[in-house]
Amino acid sequence: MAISTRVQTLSVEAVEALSASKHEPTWMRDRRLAAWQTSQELALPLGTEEEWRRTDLRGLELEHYLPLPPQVAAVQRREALSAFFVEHMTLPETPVGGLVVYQDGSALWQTLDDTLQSQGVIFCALDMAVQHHAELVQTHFMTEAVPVATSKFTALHGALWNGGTFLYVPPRIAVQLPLQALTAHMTASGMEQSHILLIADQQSQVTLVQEEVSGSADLPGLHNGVVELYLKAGAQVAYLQVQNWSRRLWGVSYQRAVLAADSQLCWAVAALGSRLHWTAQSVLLREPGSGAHLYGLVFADGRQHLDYQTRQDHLAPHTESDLLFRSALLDRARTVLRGVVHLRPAAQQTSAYQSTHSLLLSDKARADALPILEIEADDVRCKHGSTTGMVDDEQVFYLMSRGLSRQEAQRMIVQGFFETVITEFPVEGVQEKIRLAIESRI
Amino acid sequence: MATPTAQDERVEVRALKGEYQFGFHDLDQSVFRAKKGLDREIVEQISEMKGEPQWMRDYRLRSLEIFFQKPLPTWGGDVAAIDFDDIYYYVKPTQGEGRTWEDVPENIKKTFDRLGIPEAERKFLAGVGAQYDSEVVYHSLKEDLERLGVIFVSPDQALREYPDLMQEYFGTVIPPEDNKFAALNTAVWSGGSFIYVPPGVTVDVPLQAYFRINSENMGQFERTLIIVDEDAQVHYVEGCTAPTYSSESLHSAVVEIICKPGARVRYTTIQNWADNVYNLVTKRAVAYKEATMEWVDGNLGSKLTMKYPSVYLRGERAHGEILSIAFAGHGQHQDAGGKVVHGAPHTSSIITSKSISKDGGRSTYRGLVKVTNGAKGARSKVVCDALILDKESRSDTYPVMEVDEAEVSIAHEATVSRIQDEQLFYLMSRGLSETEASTMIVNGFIEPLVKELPMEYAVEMNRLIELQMEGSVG
Repeated sequence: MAISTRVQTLSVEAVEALSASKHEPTWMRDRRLAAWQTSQELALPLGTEEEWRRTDLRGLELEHYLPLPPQVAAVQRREALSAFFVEHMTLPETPVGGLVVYQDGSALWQTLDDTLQSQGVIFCALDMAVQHHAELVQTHFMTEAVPVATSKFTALHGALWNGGTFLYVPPRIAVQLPLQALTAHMTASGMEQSHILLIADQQSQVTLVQEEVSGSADLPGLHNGVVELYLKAGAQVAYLQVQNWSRRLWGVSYQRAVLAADSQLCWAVAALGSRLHWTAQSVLLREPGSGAHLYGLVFADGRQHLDYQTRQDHLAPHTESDLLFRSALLDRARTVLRGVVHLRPAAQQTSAYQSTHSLLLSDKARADALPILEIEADDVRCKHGSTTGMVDDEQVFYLMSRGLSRQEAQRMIVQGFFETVITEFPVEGVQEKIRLAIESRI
Repeated sequence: MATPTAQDERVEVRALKGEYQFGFHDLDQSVFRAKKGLDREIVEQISEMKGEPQWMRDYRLRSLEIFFQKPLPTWGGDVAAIDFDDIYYYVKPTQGEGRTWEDVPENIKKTFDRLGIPEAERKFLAGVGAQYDSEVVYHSLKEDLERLGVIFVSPDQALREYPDLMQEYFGTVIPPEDNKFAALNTAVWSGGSFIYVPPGVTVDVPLQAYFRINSENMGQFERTLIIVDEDAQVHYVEGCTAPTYSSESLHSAVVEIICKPGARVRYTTIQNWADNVYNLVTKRAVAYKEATMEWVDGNLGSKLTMKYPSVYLRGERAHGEILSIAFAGHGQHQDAGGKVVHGAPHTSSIITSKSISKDGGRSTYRGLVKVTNGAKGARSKVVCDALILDKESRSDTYPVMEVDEAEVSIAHEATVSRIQDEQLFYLMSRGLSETEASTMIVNGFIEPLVKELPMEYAVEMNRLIELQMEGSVG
């Protein structure tokens, strides 16, 4: 009894129990234990750190969440998946080349196109990759993109990460159809600590669509996630994220892409869910010729609090980055868009852009924008722009004069506002899904 | 008789060699100098020397406690190197204040000569309050201004002659609790300007004061309070030059401005402290209904400047404008910007920032636009442009926009670039040297600020930029 109680708290016993239940090799078990040690040496944010000034974590009580939600057995046939999963898996009119579905850390279902398999593409639950592709995981898992010691949260994640997706694309392989990952949070007050590890080898091409959902809109939970994207020389990656967690989930997420020479990343994010979510999203343009395009759509209502801390970090010459974020706020919602563009001394002949727009649809909503430039090179083109405003009355009146109700007019304007970002999501089925999700909320 | 000529020549030679232009200093002839360091005794001594009323003495002592309690800021520039115990907090240069030019001692006059004060006088500038060390030693006010009821005196004099106004407004815009350096200033302030413009009065010539640090290791803590009554107008110009010294100096001023309904106030600063001065200044204005407050802020000198002129828009349709120019050369960090708080409906603001970084200098724009709930129809636009002249230099932009109201329009944009090769080549093809061409481009870049300055300052500004640009740019 004593032991099982310990296992259900944040403890070294929980770390060991988790590793044992997954029959992990010793190296992963040791890494988890080392990460646990690190987590004990680090403190939670005080709120005075620049990136934590606008998200108040005082209401977060880690001990209220179960670090190890119950494990679930994988299904044998696709038909055995419940209607909930089938519904969320569906991308309108979009065939996919592979699918990984998991629930609270347990892989439920995974498929991958035969041709892709024969080409050496690996797309599976991260647990499986730990067993069968140890070398790739060892060199990339929380080493460079998001090191374990980044924060207390990443250290806890390193100790208790549970479930996630692994994608490896071998050199010169172009994956034509998008691959899809669905992450579901199904346990009340469970900790959702999934991990995305994507490695696109030299000259490869791939598109990954990832959606995060909860079993119901009022399921309490805690998400502590990490996303790591590695783009080797010349790789081209599109990564699409739809965050649609329950409205009672608190989330913290560290996400970082590392770009080698001449690689190109398109990273599109739709943030729709969560009660409170803080995300550090960063791209490291490490070698010449690399480029990153970041698109974000943030839609918040009720008392939602969504905080995005983006970073465009240019280390090398001839690099390029572009960020376009749009947020719309209803009710008492609050969004924070703090974006840093950092051009290091070596980053000559670079260009970096950043543009954020917030649309306030309620008197009680609050939008904070902090577009930051840190420029240490001189031969650069760097620009940012930010606007915050309300729906233009003239537009509303025009639409109303055409017979629309005020509400319809407002909805149409918000849709138009987001459309600029939505069309940048390079998978049409995802575009449609986001449109529907927004429409149902206005 | 040969001495002045020889000295003049030395100054010129130094100027030619690119040394700090105003780097001469007179023999120190201070009458009273408090000992180095800061404690209750020093503060009491300052208050005693000035013959202040009890309330100001208590206010100073309370502020001193706040100064001791507050931590140094951890953001912005590096202030850790300031040794607060190695600074003279009060130096009184002569007995009493000079009322006319004749009363001013000869060696102090000589210093002013080099700064062009008498020239400004000849040009019919309204009032000249020149601050030599900590005390206002020379002060003149044109008679017609006096007739209009405009008050332009040192705050010490205001404390004696207009105690009610001082007690009503002093520390109301920037309380000592605001920040560590405001607390320090409130504890040890000395000199500065006090201006009161009665309702409906327009002062149509700029009021000017020239500040100057002379004693080595002496902090300069001037305090300025400007009250502009309903529908009145004034333009205040503050310019600073400081002689070069080997050890570091601290300048920490507080400027409070109250713009009553319908008032229009412009406050212009060109700061050209020597490059060992820490310039940590708190400037804030409150603008009531339909008032307009404009800050024109040029930062060229100092080792580190941290200064963010602010406007609190407290009445409907109040308007705030901040125009900030920073030039950071070798070893300099200009951390400048502006803050506007929209606290009432239909308020509007514009912040324009232009910064230049050169020879390893670092310029930072740091700004805040805050719209409080209920400030319907607030409009704000922030534009920051930065020019980096070489690869050793650095430019940062840290704007914050906090919007707590839906019916608003808030925009911000920033660009960072270097001088375009095409522009340079074009000008050089017309026969200009590279330095001349670069200087011309930089002067064009800061044109929006320069054209807002009174003529003498515009000329001076362009000359200072030329000096900064000399012998560089690759």
